[in-house]
Parts: sequence; structure tokens; C-alpha cells
Amino acid sequence: MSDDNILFDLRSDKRALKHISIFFSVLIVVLLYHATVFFVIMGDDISVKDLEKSFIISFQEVENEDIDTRSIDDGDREVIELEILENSFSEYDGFGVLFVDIEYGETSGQFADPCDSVSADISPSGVKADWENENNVLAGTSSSCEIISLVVYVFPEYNSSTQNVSGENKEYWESLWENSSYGVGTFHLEVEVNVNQPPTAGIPTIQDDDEEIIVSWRSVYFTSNIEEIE
Amino acid sequence: MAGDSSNLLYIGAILSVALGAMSLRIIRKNKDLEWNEALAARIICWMFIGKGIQNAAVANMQDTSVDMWQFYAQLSSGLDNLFTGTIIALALIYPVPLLRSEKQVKIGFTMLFGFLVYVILLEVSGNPYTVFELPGIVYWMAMICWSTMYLKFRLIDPGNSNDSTDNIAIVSGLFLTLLMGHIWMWWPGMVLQSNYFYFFDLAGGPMTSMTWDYMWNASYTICIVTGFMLLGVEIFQYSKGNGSILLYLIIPYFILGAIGYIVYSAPETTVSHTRGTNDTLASIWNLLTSQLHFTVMRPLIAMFVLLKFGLFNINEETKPMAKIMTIILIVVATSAILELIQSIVPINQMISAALLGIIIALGIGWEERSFDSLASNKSNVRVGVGKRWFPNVSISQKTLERLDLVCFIYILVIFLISFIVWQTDMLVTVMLERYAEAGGVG
Repeated sequence: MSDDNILFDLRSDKRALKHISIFFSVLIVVLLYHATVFFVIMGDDISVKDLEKSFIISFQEVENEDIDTRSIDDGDREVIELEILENSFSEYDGFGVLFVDIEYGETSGQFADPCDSVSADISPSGVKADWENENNVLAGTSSSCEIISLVVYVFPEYNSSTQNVSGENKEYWESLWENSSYGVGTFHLEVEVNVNQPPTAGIPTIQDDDEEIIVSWRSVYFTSNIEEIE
Repeated sequence: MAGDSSNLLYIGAILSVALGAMSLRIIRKNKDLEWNEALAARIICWMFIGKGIQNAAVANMQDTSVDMWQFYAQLSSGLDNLFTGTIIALALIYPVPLLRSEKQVKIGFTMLFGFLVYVILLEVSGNPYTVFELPGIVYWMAMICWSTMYLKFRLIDPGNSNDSTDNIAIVSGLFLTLLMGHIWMWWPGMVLQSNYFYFFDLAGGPMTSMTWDYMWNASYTICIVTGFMLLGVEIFQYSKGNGSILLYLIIPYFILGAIGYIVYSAPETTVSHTRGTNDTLASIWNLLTSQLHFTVMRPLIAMFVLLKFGLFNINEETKPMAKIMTIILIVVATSAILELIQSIVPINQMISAALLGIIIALGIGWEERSFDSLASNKSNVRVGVGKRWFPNVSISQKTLERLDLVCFIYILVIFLISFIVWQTDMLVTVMLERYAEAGGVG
């Protein structure tokens, strides 16, 4: 029966028993050290490590405006570009939103000339941005000389408003809200003009065959400020 | 880095499943093994088939943002339990059987299987990650069994020492390395009271209680003590001119641990083997150390044991498949390491392609020589060792085939359970409950 029990063999070998005993004694001492560190020395920190921290994330914004004026012929579709260089907002945490206003009036000077029809759309191009954001306004038209306003949300989930978040740590949220790759590249705005002729258009000297368009690009850059709620 | 991490897990999945499935095919043809070796060989195969699927599940979980993560999380957990079961079973019978009679084997394996079923029941009843699962038991059992055998045979009376006694110790040490290697790289954290060791949280946040975290952390501590014991004994043996391959295998883990201390000690760095870290440098380090151990070193160590210690019967029929298996492992492992380096250090693609070609050619050349050397120069663990250490237990071929069937069905059942957990949102429910109890927001 003793042949079947390995413990008898180990117990009868004094040399092995000595080595195994030393090993397990050291093991117990180290386990006591570990338990002391875990429960006493670092116990307070460990017990609260799972409690979720809350943070307030607020944003400071800076706006940069570029204006482009074009005269577009009747029936033409022109591409107007805005190029954002990699280092153009390096002092900020990110590129938040791009507002594009397309402004025009009836400039023919003819009597009773109605406003022309202008359509504009900004297409998802090579620029990395939150193109799928449901608040984006990527296309618009006007036949009444009203300003066409387009919006592209560039930085994902950015909406200018202060946020309350829970979990992780300050560095995590800082790294989440710092990314200079969004918004770098060239935005393409396509503008088409269709002239509405004045009632006097039949007179040979009276022609309305183009329109002046003013495009203002307002780039909103932001710096995030993250504070832990005590 | 999450992408690199999941890519490595996929590579690990291929390596592990290839090793497990091909080895199983070869081993099933080998009728000449002793009872414990036949059992051990099959257990190693299933261990790696399960680990391979688990690696793929973890990689998918990292790439999935929708609620299907629950399926992969449960699959990973269930297959990790299989790993626990196979490691404990292996430690009980190989290289020296601690279970010495048919009755002991039956009782031991029944208790083990019962434990696995018990853990599954805990998980499907909405109680995953509780102390009742005995977190860290795999490390305790492996440490007790293999450390005892290692010390007994590595420090045996010089008059009774021979190649077989050394080989028993080496096999025990290799399995301890396979299981604990990644933890040895954390030794400075344990000794120097670092946050990255004591704050380690396997499941993340309030999912596990402080007692659970302590039990898991304590099991890491015993692994580190075991590692130091191996290191000390191997250095001692080396100083007496009786060094072994084990010393060269263990030392890098401890050196990497010292370097890792600097990386992980950066402020606010939190670390998890499986979930990576929130810091770029620490993520890269984790990928090149812990993840590489899981995905590449483990299959390589297992392949070495299978080939070197005669668990394969290499003959004219099985030799081609065994060679294919080793080539797959070497080529995939080599290219994976190079790709990893390339993802971190920007090397021109043409240069890296050329380097890959050269390294693979060298690897295959090395494989030719090393395979022949391994296959023709097998090490024995029985010759010259008292017969009482290797009692005869009758295990029929039918029983061995039944073991294959049980493991196969277990994996299928885990898939089914994971599907149910996903469909019933069980893990999400448990998470919300535990986060609410902790007073936080999920």
C-alpha cells in the first residue's frame, strides 16, 4: 500500500525532504510579505482602485477664418479648396468643427433681377474627420440670396459642450482628446450657380450670366481641460 | 497597439492549434508509450487546441465593440478552464506520476473533471469571477507537483544522479516555465511593491472582489518564488559543472523583468496581460514580453518536450507530418517576431521582406539539423530511476480515445454555453450589478 503513496517516498528521502521544506518555508515567508503589502502597506490604495473616478472635460475654442471670393459662371460647378497643414493647429489639442458659409447676393444690377440658385456641397474626401456624424450639414441650396451654412464635425464626438465622464484616469482622457490627425488635408467644396434671368432679359444689352460667391471657412480648434471631480 | 496585440494572438492561435491537432494525429498512432506518457501527450495536444481557440477568441474580443464580446469572453473563460484542467492533470502524471494506481488516477481525474463542471455551473448561474472558482489554483497545483519533483530529482544525492533524474527535473522545469514564464517577468514589481504588480486586475474594475484579486495576486507570488528557486538551483548546478538548457531559458525572463520594471513603473501605467496597457511604451513592452511568451514560447516549449522526451514515435510514416509541424511552428514564429519588430521599428518593407526570407531560410536550415538531432537523440526519464517512481497502471486504448472525445465534447459545450451567455446578456448584467455595488458607473 505504501508503494501507492508518493508521499511515503518523499518523506523517506531525508535529502529531498530538506530541500522541499526549505523551499516551502521561503514560500510561506514571501507569501506573508505579499499579504502584508497587499492588505496593510498598499491596502488602502488597492481597496479604492476600483472605485470609478469622475472627470469634467471642458474645451477652450479658438476660431480661424479664411475667406475666398469667386465669380462663377451660369451652369458652372467649381471646386473651392481649403488646405489644412499638419502644423497649422499644433498648439491646440485638436480640430473640432469646420463651419462653411456660402454668401452671395444678386449683383447683376438689373431691375427686378431675382436671386440666382446656388447649391453647395462638401464631400467626404481625403481628410480624416467625423464624416458620419449625424449633425453634419454637408450640402445646401439657396434661391433667395440667403447664406448657405454647412458644418463638418471633424474631431469624433466633439460638440463644444462640457462633458461629464466616469472611469479610467486623467491621462487616459487627455490622450483621448488630443489628436492632431483629424482635419489635416484638403477640404473640397463644390459650388454650382444657376442664374435666374431678370424679366428684362429679352433686351440684348441686359444679361445676367454669372454670380459672385463669398465662401468663409471657420475652423474651430480646441484645447481640452480635464479636471477630476473629488 | 491593440491591432498588433490581436494580430499576435491570431498567430498564437495558428501555432497552438497547428501544434495540438497535428501532434494529436501523430500521437494517436503511437501505441508504444507508457500509460502516463500516452495520457500526457494527449493532454498536451488538447491543452494547445484549447489555447489556440482561446487566443483567437481573445483577439476577436479585442476587435469587437458590439455585445458579441460576451460570446468571446465566455469562450475564452471556458477554454481557460480547460487549460487549468489539463495543466493540473499533466502535473499529476508527468514526468513522474504522482497518481500511482488505477484507483488514484480514476479518483484524481474524476475530481478534476468535477471541478471543471463546478466552475462552468458557477459561471452559467451568473457567478463568474468569484472566489469560489479558487482563482490561481492552476499555479498552486503546478507549483506543488512540479517543484517537488524538480527539487527531488535535480538535487538528488550525487550517487543516484544520472541523465534520467536530470531529465525529470528539466521536464518539470520546462512545464513550470511554460506556465509561469510571463509572471517571472514581474518579479521586481512584487519585491519592490509596485502598483503594476499589486494593482493587477485580470477581469478589470469591480468585476472581481478584493479577495479574488488577492488570491490571484498571491498565486503570481508563488510563481515568482518558484522561478527564483529554479534560477537558484540551476545556477548552483551550473557552478558544479552540471548546467542545463533550463538556465539559459530562465535567465532572459528575469533580465526582461528587471528592464520591464522601468517601463511599467512609469506614472499611471496600468497593466493587464490580456488587455494590454494604457501607455504606448508599456503596450509595446507587454507585446514583446508577456504576449510573446503566451503565443510563441508556450507552443515552442511544448513542441520541444514532445519531440525531445519521446512522446512522439517518429518513424517513416509519421516523420513527414512531424517535420511539417516543426517547420510551420518555426516559420510562423520567426515571421511573427520580425513582423512585430517591424510594427514597432519602422524598417523599409523591401529590407524586412529580404530579412524575413533570410531568417526563414536559416530557420528551416536550423530545423533540418535540430529536428534530426531531437528525433534521433531522445532523452529518457525512466532509465536508471527506481521502478517505484513509475508504477504500472493499466490504461486501455479505449480510455485514451474516450479522453479525446471528452475534450472534444467539452469544447463544443463551451461554444454552446458562450452562445447562450451572449444571447442572454449574462455578462453585461453581472457587470452592471457589480459596478453598481461598487458605487461606480459602468
